[in-house]
Order: sequence, then C-alpha cells, then structure tokens
Amino acid sequence: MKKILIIEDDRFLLELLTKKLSASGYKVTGAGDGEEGLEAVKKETPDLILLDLMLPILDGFEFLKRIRKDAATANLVVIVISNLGAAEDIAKAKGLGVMEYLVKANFTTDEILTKVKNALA
Amino acid sequence: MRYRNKIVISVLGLVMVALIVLENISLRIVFPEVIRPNLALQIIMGLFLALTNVAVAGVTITLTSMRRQQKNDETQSHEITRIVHQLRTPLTTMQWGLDLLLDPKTPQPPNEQTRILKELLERNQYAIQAVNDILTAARVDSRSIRTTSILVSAPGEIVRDIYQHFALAFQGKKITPALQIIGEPLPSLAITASDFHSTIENLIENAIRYTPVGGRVTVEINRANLGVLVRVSDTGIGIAPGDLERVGEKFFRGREAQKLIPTGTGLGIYIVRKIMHRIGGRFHIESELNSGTIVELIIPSKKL
Repeated sequence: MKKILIIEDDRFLLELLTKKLSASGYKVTGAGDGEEGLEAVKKETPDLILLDLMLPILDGFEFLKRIRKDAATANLVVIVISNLGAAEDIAKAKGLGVMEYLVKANFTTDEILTKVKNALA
Repeated sequence: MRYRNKIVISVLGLVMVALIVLENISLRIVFPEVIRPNLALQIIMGLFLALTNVAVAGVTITLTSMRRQQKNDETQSHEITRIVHQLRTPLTTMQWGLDLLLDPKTPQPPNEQTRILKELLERNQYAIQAVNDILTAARVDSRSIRTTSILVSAPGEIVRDIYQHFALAFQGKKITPALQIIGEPLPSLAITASDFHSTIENLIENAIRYTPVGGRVTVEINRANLGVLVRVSDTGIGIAPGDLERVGEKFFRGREAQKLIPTGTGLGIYIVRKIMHRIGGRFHIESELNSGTIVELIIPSKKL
C-alpha cells in the first residue's frame, strides 16, 4: 500500500482529501504544519507528499528547503496544493524540486486523485 | 482604470453575495432532511456544486484580469489579489466537500453527511462574512475624511441592541458576557450609524472569536472627556508583542489568531481603526498572550 503524507493546516480540507485518497486504497497520514510534517517524514518515509504552502510555524517553502538538505529525504516526491497562484510562488516551489504545482481552487478532488495516481505509477 | 476596477469589484462582490446567499439558503433548507441520500438532496447539492464552480470561475477570471492590470496599478491590484484569495479558500472547501458527498466511491454514513454539511455551512457563513468585511473596508477606504455630518444619538441603546444580537454566539461558546453602560443619557456621537455598528460589531465578534470556550467578554460604555469611551475586553488567546504593533494593518492576522482559526480576512480591526481615524476618535489596544485583549475607543461627541 502506497503511503501519502498530506501537510495541510485546514483540518477540514485535510479530512476531505484523506477520505478521498483512502477510498482509493492509499495509506494516508496528515500533518497540520511544516514542523509536524518534518516529524512525520522522519517517522515513516512517504511515497508522496501533498504539501500546502501557507502553513503556521513552518511554511511549505521552508519545509521543502529542509527536506532537500537532508540526504535521507532529499528525493521525496512532492506535489504542492495551494491557493497561492502567483508566478513567483510557482517558480520558487519548482526551484525546490516539486513535481507538480496545483492551485486548489482549479482542481476537483478527482483531478487531484488522478495526479496522485500518475505520480505514483 | 480605477473606476473600472471599482466597478469590477462591486459587480463581483454583488454576484458573490447573491451566489453565497443562495447556497446558504439552500443548505439551510436541506439540512433537517439529511437522513439518507435522496434525489432531491442530490439535485440541490448538484446545484451548489454548479454555483460554487461559477464562483470559483469568477474568482479565477478576476485574478487573471487583475494580474494583467498590475502594471497600471501595482498596489491596488495587489490588494484585489489578496481579497480574491480570501474567497478562494472557502469556495475550494465547498467544492471539495460537495464533490466528496456526491461521489459514489466515497459513501458517507448519515451522521457524517450531516457533519460535513454543517462544516460547509460554516465555511459558507465565513464567505458571507468575508464579502461583508471586504465591502465595508472598500466603503471606509473610499470616503473622504470630512463626510461625517450624521450623528448617532443614544449610543448606549444601540450597543445594548448589538450586544443582544450576540447572545447565541456567547451561549454557543459558553462565554460569560457582561455589559456595563455608565453615565446615560450618553451624548450623541459624531459617527454614522453604519460605522458605529461596524465598529462595535467588529470588536465584539473578535472578542468572541478569539476567546476559548468558557471565557469572559466584557463590553463597557462610559462618558469620556471628549465623547464616549468604548472598552471591549476578553480572556482570549491574546496577541504576541511583535504582532500587536501590526494589528490593524490591512489583511494582517496575528500568528496565534491564524493558528486558532485559519480563516479570517484581517480586516476587522483595520475597519475599526480606519473609522476612528476618520472621525477623529482614538484607538488603543493592549494584549497579553494567553490571557486576553482589551480594545479601547474614544468616539467623539457632536461638536457644539
């Protein structure tokens, strides 16, 4: 069973995504901020991370910088899901090696599921 | 270009309000009926989804067209972008929630359906609140300083009325409220009725929002040298010293506030400060982390 870590501070959105992905047979864990995300990554290496960018304590960009610095986590596959959609945010995230950048409002949960499936194929 | 911007915002605002209110009414209608999925429910939820999609499309189109104008008016465009982002989050939530409820692959038991719908209703209410705040902020931003010739008389009674409107909110969070009005009859105040309402409502709303269950919120009104003193104090989460200086900046929300409630426009105190500045009133805020916040205003009385 593939493992997905979702880092999202809106617990309701986190719950909706968790339900959606679990129903398709993924093992989903959630983290509410970047720091919790780092702890989760250390505890159990996920096959894919869905990452929000605007997060309390440690934001998504900072999270990316930290995992890229550590050899054990440097190659983790990350898909950004954020409502930040400005070109500079996208460029910054891409520069930190994210596989895809999805603006939440432009994607249904089905489309996100498809992106996840493709990324893990 | 400024004019066109304003027209676009106004039209967008009105369309949003209409869509959101319609969703809200429909959600309220289906709510008692949610026991098991039935055709009527599916149709109504399909309708919400369509409405939400229209709203999301509207937000996206506006964002795109505003970005195009960025060269013409950097600051204003930046503000509009912020505003539209405020609406994107609740709309996304509604879309995803309805998606999930309508998806046969993720059937939810009846009590889960009710819980999810309840949460969506709350997000919808937040979207209405956000639209209202944005319109109020636009209103206080666009008026010139010298417009206030209308006066509010018997401010004590108005505060009593507003305070009573919050009775349910107080109850819902088991907050012990207190209202002290001293020195009645109070003088008439040099502020418009709508500004006075916005001011008092914003302060009480904030106090309730950021005070944990079982806390206290106190509203005091008293005569002051130049008019009337309004003091709203709470036993809430408080504001960190570094953040306190920035409270009242447009769209600013403190770290603790964001942690407790991720959604918020950061316009409430901005609106209050802006109104106070315009009428020559005074604004003062004190806060201690984990212990509470006090906001004091002096609203000037009619000059004789």
